[in-house]
Amino acid sequence: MNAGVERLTLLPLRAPRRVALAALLAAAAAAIALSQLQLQLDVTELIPSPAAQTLRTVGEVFGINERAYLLLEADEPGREHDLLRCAEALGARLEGRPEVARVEWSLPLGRDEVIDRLLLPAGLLYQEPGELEALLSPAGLRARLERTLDRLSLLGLGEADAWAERDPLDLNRALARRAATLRGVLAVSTEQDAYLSADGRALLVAVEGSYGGAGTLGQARRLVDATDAALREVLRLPFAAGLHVAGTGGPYISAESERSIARDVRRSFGASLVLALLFLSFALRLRPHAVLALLVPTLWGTLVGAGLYALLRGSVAALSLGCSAVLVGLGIDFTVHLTTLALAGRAAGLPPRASVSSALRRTRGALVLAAATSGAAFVTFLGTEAQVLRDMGTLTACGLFACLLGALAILPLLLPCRCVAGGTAPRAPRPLGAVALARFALEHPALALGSAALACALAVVALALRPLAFETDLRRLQSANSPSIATQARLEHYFGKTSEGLVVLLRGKDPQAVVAACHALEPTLAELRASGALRARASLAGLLPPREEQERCLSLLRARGAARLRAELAAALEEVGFDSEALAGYVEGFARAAELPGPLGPEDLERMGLGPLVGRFLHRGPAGTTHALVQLDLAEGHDAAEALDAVVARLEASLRELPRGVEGSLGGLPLVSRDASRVASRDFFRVAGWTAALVVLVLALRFRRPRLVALVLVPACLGTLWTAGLFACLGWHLNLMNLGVLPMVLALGVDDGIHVVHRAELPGTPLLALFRDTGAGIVLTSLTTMVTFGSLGLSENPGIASVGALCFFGLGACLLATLLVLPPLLHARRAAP
Amino acid sequence: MNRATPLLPLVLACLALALRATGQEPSSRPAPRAGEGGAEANPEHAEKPVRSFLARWAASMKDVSSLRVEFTQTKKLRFLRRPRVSQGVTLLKGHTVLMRVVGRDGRPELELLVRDDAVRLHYPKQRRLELYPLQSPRKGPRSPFVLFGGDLERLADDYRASLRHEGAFDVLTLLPRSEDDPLRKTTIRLRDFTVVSMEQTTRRGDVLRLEVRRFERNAPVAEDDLRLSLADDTEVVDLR
Repeated sequence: MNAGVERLTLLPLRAPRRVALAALLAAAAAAIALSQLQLQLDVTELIPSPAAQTLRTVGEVFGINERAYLLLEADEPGREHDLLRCAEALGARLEGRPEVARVEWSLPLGRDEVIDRLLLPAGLLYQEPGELEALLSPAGLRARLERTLDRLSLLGLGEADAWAERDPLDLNRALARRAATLRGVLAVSTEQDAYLSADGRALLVAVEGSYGGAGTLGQARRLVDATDAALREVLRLPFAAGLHVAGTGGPYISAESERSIARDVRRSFGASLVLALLFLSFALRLRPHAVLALLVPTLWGTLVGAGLYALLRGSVAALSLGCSAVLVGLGIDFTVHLTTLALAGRAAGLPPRASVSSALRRTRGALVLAAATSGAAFVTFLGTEAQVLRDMGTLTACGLFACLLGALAILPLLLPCRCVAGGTAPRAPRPLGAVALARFALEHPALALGSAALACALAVVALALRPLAFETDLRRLQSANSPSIATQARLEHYFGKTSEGLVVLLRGKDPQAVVAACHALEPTLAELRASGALRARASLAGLLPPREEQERCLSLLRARGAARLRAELAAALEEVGFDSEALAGYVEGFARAAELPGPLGPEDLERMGLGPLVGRFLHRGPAGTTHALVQLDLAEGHDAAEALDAVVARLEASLRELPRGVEGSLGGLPLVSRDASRVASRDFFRVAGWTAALVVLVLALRFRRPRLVALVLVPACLGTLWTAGLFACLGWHLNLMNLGVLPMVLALGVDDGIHVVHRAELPGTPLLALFRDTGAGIVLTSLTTMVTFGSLGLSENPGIASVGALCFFGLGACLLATLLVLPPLLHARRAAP
Repeated sequence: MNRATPLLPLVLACLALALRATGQEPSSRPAPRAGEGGAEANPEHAEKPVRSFLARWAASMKDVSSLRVEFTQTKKLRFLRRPRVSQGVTLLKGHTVLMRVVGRDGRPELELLVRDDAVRLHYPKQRRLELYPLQSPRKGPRSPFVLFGGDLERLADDYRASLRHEGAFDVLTLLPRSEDDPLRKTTIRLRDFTVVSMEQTTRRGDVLRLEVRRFERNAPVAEDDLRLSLADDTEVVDLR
């Protein structure tokens, strides 16, 4: 086996052309695989929870996902007319475009239209049965008509008089009350049918894409581009002077996320490469072009690793891809260790090939072990529930092993080259302070160990005072500078907190049962509104009275009969002072109510032209399943923790009592955030536990002796504890992105201990000489990893930025612990009998 | 209160209540742009005497903090057998408006109270009180019903205004600029910038005539005057 390992190790030196060709083919295959990789941008798709699934289904069935929302704002009030003209001009420009299904800035039907279509004869079925019973008598009719007549005494001529003629019995009030609830979650002006804010300074316009479902990134981008182009034209019109427009919603957020992720990847990749180049050039005393050549194995490993991932998975969470730059910092470690040893050999007088083969023999074990422990940490991510972590783990693990392969296979091809190896007198790499720190620690062990102990105590105190907490608001994972999120905040300022709403999705085979289920929820919703937990709700129940109530109204009407209703109303009109002949149409419609065939259902409303409204809340699918949507607007403060749990518990209890054949589920961003927090909590303990176990197992298999394993683990454990303390001090929350930081710090930080202890076990190695040989490597690898993670701290995404900042600190802490704590401990171990 | 109250919003609240009383709001109708839909392309060129008159009228109402107006209103509506005649009084003080219509026997027939973001409509004969939310003034053409003042100077923007003098009286005629406006014509008769009578006709043929019997600026209005005369067994219907 040793001979086989030896042959494999030295293969690049023995058959360089074959190895180079294989590397090129692998890179080409990886590039092809990467070109097919799909990006997933919707954060809710990354959370494996019923609430997220409900939200996705609602988006797909009711077409919400492909809606872009535009906020048109005026600098001053009184420009409602200009806002509406803008919306009309935009609609005219977008109509007919293939990307756009619909542009709307009001409910599909105005309140007056709804009332017009429903007033008579159907309007009588909308009355409360008790009120209708009181109305359907000569005295009841007279009383109602007298009130209408009295209102005519109000000063001035206006719509009140027009309505008195149109509806002297005031039946429209019940219809208007129901129609008003359809705006439920939107706090819009009730003076107009358009989605104007109450102060008249903003108009909400929805642009619906034609692609169905969430669509691909390209479709979202095309919709955004078409909308933006139309807006630019409209804003040049004279009446649009002083108006502002901003977009948000699924397509805008997708397009923005794509740009943001691309920017992050470019920025962090660029920063990683440049800084790595500078560090390597300085530390290894090589010219920049030589260092560029040394980056080749890492870049090859990153490409091949990503390609391998693309073959295995096919899609990647955008947030995970944003972290891909860390592969440069992680993967270059193998190159650094091998190169420092090779250069040290050259400085000692070995020829180039011999120095490389010597370095390979001396370091291959440690490199493979380091890859194993680091890779183990990322492999544990595969057991998490959050897809973003699974993707990150798979991607990084593939990249790590590919970078190891690159270091062992490609680097030996480059190191002997003159351009890399340099002239006849190459110098050893700079120690970068490793020797100085180790000497200090050996000369002042009490101080070094005491400082470490103090830091541990401070970390423990910080954690005791501020235990690690989990993020409960998924929106904080969005970029802080996101224009779309800022627009959403502006929208909520004008129209209410729509993003904090819940949705109830009902589904069943029988449409009538599903509609009945909407009504069955009403008592619970009324109770929640009365208690102040809910601000509003929008549901088909707002458009259609319960079937039982309609049947009661119908039986009252039929008991009287059409002829009697006609005669009694005409008589009452005359008695009060109305001209029954002028109101003959109204009288006839009133009488016909007794001849209605049955209670109204959604199909009846659709026949009356109210289909666009019904379609907002009811969807009958081709497979025979009917979905109904109920939108709930939570009151202020009820989207957090206990208050939310109480509301959800009440709703879930109601859903359990739904009629047979109808199922219901809850969704909404507050719930998805809550679920994400729980997922993060479970995943954190899972990842941390498995990482620790795997690292210990790998070390135990290698070193076999507990004391050696403990020595290797000391710096990593200290660094992890200090990082956790910093986390607590900063008051940061663990979220789906950064919950892997602490396990990563442990798994990556242990590399330093591995290299030091591995070398320390080789016979005849003085401690300071050990740190001279190995110190440069561990300092350089730590610094390169730190800067690549640190470059993530530049991300606009708070989740990614927190990963970068914490890893930067954590790996630095591990390095410090390795150079200050390990030397006195190793010395004590050697001195012990 | 020393400063002028925002009387126009209160007036429009009364009108809005007339609409809310039927359970719905005015249909959306974009405000006619100045210059649109009328023969006068530019209202700024409306006769200067009219604008000057409107300005002086507005100035006369500037420091009014309370009003007492006694009126007789006659509405001829095509769906009524007989004209609707109402006599009553309207009291305004601060942000509170009370309108009381009395019958021939002098007893209240209808009371309207606007206060504290709510509109209360009291039907004394039926012992019924309806509560409506108070809405912001309707956005659109300014109402020509200017009995209580308001943004008088801007009337010429929404209406073609003409002024003539008949002895001691000034007669202001307002014709809507928009063909969509249901009103056809408003004629206001004033004496010393006090409305004496008003007549409105709609395109449908309805006619309103308002006679002002008493118009007292800064009238002494006590808080007790601004209360509804509710019976103990009044049914309260909250429509907010």
